[in-house]
Amino acid sequence: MTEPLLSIANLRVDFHTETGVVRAVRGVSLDIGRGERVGIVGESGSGKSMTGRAILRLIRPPGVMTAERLAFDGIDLMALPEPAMRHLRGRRIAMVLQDPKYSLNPVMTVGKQLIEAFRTADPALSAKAARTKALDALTAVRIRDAERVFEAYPGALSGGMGQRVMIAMMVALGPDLLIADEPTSALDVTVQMQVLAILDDLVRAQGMGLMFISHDLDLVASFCDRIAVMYAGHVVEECQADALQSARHPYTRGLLAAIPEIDRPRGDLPVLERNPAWAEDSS
Amino acid sequence: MTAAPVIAVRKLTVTFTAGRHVIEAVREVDFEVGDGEVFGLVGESGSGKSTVLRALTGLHEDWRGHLDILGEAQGRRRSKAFHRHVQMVFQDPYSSLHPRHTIDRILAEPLAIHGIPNAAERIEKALVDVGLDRSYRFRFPHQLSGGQRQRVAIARAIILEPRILLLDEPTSALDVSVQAEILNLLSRLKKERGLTMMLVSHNLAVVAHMGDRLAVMRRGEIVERLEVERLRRGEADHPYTRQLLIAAKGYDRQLADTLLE
Repeated sequence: MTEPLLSIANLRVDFHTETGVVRAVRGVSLDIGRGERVGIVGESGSGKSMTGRAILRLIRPPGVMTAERLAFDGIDLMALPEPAMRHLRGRRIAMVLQDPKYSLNPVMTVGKQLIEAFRTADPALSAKAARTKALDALTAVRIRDAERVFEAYPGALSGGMGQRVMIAMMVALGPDLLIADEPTSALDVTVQMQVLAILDDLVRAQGMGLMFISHDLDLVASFCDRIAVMYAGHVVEECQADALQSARHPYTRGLLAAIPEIDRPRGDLPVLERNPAWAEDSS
Repeated sequence: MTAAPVIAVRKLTVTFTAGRHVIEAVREVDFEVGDGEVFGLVGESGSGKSTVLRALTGLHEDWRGHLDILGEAQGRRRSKAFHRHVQMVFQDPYSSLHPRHTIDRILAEPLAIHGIPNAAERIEKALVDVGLDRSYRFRFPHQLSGGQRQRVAIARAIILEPRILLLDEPTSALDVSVQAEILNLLSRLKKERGLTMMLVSHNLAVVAHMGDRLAVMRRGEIVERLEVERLRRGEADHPYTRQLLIAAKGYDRQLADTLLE
């Protein structure tokens, strides 16, 4: 059996505040394979974003993370010194966040930002080669007028275009794993489709592993291979994406039932009754 | 629709002026909403759907065309009586409630403006009507969850016993389980009070769940008007409405490819 690209066992993130310890992630265990799209779904506060950040070791004090295992391509990330970790970020594990408005520098052209990212990753890259690489990266995410976007400031781009730029920047370095945290939630549905198609192609063509964090169950079920449902900081259920409708955990079933659907009979929506037992630690 | 419509909009054009540029955010839009009906306005960002609502309620003054609401032609300025009958609920319950006012003060304000007596009694009743315990009365918005805040925003809208409720993406900032609770609450209020509602949303399923009829907007214009029953049967005529219908069901590679072309 081949080793998964990412292997997490009993990941925990605690925040030590004046009023006590907030346990944001409470024992997440999860594997992601090469070329696999794994959806992490849950409602706000379920710990899904914190899990994504913890993989990149981006938890800042007062947050403290621990894990029995956090291995990426056989590398123990928990034991990795910070400079080596920094080398991994962006190059081998990349992250795309929800809103391109906040991820791009508003006073720097798109081209300059791409070049900066590529030359930081590879200091030997010449300015000219970096420019070519940047234009290629923009073309790769199906931006037709790459030259214009290259010269533009982020404020001049639509949300969908901005998100394509972010993806271009992240995937041009050929990461093995992409953590996408609600990458399409700020976008219109038709634009969302386009961005997902681009991610879809990258996963297929480059065999990239994708961790797709989202609150949208229908979207994740239709886009991913496998789904982990998070509640109160841990994974309550894992299933194949196409089997989501036959999910067993009462929380997952409650969430599914609460979603209004176009062809579903009307009448009151079933309201999710939360059981305190769901929040209890599994380990 | 047998009786006269409660809302009649004819050739509504709404403009924004930026320097020398005049942008027509809404162009020549027509629709009617009958008494007790829920009318949905669907579209993507920038389609003009929220702008229509803002012009209706008097929040945006640069418009032309005809607006008849509750049998009266409306001008630029709205009467006090208008606001008693027409109330609005906004998308973001984090920014639509004054952060330094208690729930009590938030709910007392519309009553004070309209000189309605028995404020304390009405406030408690409004809280109960939206499913909040009386104990919330003296809390601040930050002490409430998103869903509870949206309940307060709805309480503020219904405390004047309006006839029309204008809802601008009332559940898009909420988790699905909370959205279900708010949609159920709105359905109940509609049934109990015979409210007429306009529901602006980018979410077709939410409109299909709540609405009787809907209009689909794109780039400032209505591209299609149809009954929700037809939408539910997938009988949309306009290609854009059909795209939205497919997209509402999740990721669809075929649709994505046509959109990327």
